[in-house]
Formats: sequence, structure tokens, C-alpha cells
Amino acid sequence: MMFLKTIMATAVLLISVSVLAHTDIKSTFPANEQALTEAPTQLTLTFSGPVRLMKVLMNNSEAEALDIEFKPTAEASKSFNVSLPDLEMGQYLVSWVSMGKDGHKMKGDFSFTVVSEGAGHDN
Amino acid sequence: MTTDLSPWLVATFSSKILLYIAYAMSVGGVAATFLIQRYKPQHLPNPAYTLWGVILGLVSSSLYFFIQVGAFSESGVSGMWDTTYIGILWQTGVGLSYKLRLAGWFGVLLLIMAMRLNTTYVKPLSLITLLVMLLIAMSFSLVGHTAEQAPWVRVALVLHVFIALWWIGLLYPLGQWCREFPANTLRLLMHEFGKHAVFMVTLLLIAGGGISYAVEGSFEALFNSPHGNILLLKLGVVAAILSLAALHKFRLVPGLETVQSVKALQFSISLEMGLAVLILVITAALSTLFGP
Repeated sequence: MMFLKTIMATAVLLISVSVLAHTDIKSTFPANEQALTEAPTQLTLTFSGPVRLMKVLMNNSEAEALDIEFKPTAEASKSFNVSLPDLEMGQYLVSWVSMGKDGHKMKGDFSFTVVSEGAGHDN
Repeated sequence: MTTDLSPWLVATFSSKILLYIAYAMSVGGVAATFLIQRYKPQHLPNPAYTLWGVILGLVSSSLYFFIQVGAFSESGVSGMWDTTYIGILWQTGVGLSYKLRLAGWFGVLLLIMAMRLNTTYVKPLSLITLLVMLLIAMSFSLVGHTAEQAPWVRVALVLHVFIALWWIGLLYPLGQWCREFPANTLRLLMHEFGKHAVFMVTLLLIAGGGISYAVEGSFEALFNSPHGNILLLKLGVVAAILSLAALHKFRLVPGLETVQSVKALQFSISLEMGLAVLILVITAALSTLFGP
């Protein structure tokens, strides 16, 4: 009898199925392959759900790493701002690593170009 | 966004297989101790098997945690000891899962030491040890594809992990008992195991079905996605191991009378162990290398 109850309870629970895919990146500022007339003063990475941003690296067109002073924390958020140093004209590649709520590692990159030097602007 | 097949992913996959084997050895060894008490009171069957399972559990869970640290710090092998990332991961589900594994396996170590020192209370202590092992099973629900699912899916996963590895881990002691006991005692022991197994395996299949449905999202996903295809492969091997289990229960165990019949059962259990290892490898691939 107990066994039958267990089966019935499980069958009822089966009806309310929820499906969650891995949290993906939604948008970035600058956007991938965006050409900016003014150098950005910060990067913004927005995800579809809360993640922990574990690493952000930025290289210039000579593949030199820029000091962007990104410090990873255990705080989960949907959006992250990373301050940038003064950027010169040129192409930049940003690589990021994040951890989803389920502990999965996700990584990606995007590039942008500063086409003329000038005062920076925020997102 | 990418989840490429990096050396860290391969290392995670390998440490997960070790983790599964360790859990199977620990839970199977303790379950065998509990099961045999009616026929051989205060006896500790295969104490080395359980102890090595616990040691492997502590090593593989530590390995798994530091591999995750290395994977996120992305600074080569030395990144496994990066204190910033150790501190961050310690506060996440990966860290909580590691804490549960450490607490569980150290608890099991203390309890099996207590059983070895004084065999009077082996039966209640082995039952308590099995309950402590549920802590370790819980750790699997804090990371991976079910971590963000509804509570019932995570409860189903805890049951699924515990029962699957209880079964797999018991195969080695069962094979040993074929050498140790005469056919008539062996038949009673196997019959006893069979009674437990019918209930446990039914629960295992229900839990497995529920988890698969929740993770895949649809029946079609079984055929349309790599994760679904690998799950189908796992189901095929599960069907094969269930067929062997049915052969044992309905044919080989009732026919246990002669030395030859015992040898036939022993051989069949060895085959079952081979299939069980294959299931563990496929499961580690499903939870590490392929996303649903």
C-alpha cells in the first residue's frame, strides 16, 4: 500500500515539470564587432539569469593584455560593469568566464573597435 | 558562448567517474554489511572494500573541487591552488557539495571504524552509516543539470544516485559471497537481496524517468539532441543490466544448488559489473560533456 502511494505521489509530481536551460549571455556593451566613435569607459555584460562572473580579460590588437582591474567575487548577478582604462583607437578583444547557478562553466568573447579617440562615454 | 572540450572538462569527467565508483564502493560495502547480519551476525564482509571506497571518496571529491577551481581560474595547473578562486568556489554550490562530501565521508569513516572496534552494534551502525551516505547523495543535487530544477527533481536525483550506486556497489560483495557461502545459504542471501532490489529498482526507475523528463524537456529531445542520444544509449545499457538482474532473480538464484550453478551466477554478476561501469561512464559524460 505504501509502495503504491509512493508511485502515485511521484506520478503527480511528474505532471509539474519545469525546464531550465543553462544561463546564456544576453548582451554586452560594447556589442560584438561594434565600432565606437568614442572610447567606452566601462564594459557591461548582461546574462539571461544570475551568474558569477569569474574572469574578464581584455587584449588589444597586438594581443597585449590590458589592466582592467577586474576582481571576481562570489556574488551572483544578471549584469556586471567593468571599468576600463583610457583606450586608444584600435580593436579590442574581451574574453569572459562565468559560472551558472548549477556550477557549470561558460565562456565567451566579443570584440569591438574604437574608431576615433575622444572623451569616453558610459553605457 | 562555448563549453569546449578542454583538458579541465576531461579532468572533471574523470574525477566524476572516480567519485561514482567511490560512492558505489562505500554504500555497497555498508549495505552488504547490513544485509548479511541475519545470516552472519556481527560480521563485517569486505571491510577493505568499504574502507578503500571511503578513501577514494575523500580523494576524488577533493580532486573534483580543485579541478573546478583550476577550470575557473584558467591559469594552468597552478590555478588549482589559486586562493581567490578557492574562496569563491567554497561559497558556491560546488563548495557546498564538497563540504557535504567531506562531512559524509569522514562521518562514514568514523562509523566504519566504530564497527571494526566493536562488532556488537554492527547492524544499527550500518543502518546509520547508510543514512549518513544520503548526505553524499545530496551533494550531487547541488551542482549540474538538476541544480536549478524544482525541489522534487533534486529529491528524485538524491534517491536515484543512492539506489543506483547501492545496487552497483553491492555487486562486488555479492560476487564474493558466491565463493564464500554454500549454495543453500547463498540462495537465501540472494533471495533477500532480490526482495530489497525489487523495491529499490522500481524507485530507481521512477526517479530516473522523472529526472530525464525534467532535464530533456520533451520526448523528442531524446532523438534530436546529443544529450538525448547519450541518454538513449544509457537506457539501452540499463535495459541490458535489468535483463541480467531478472535472469538472476527468476532463473539463476532459484536454481542455486550445485557448484556449477553458483559459478554461473558468479559469472553473470561479473557481466553485470561490467555493464554497471559502462553506465557510470555514460552518466559522467551526460552530466559533464553534454548539455541538455
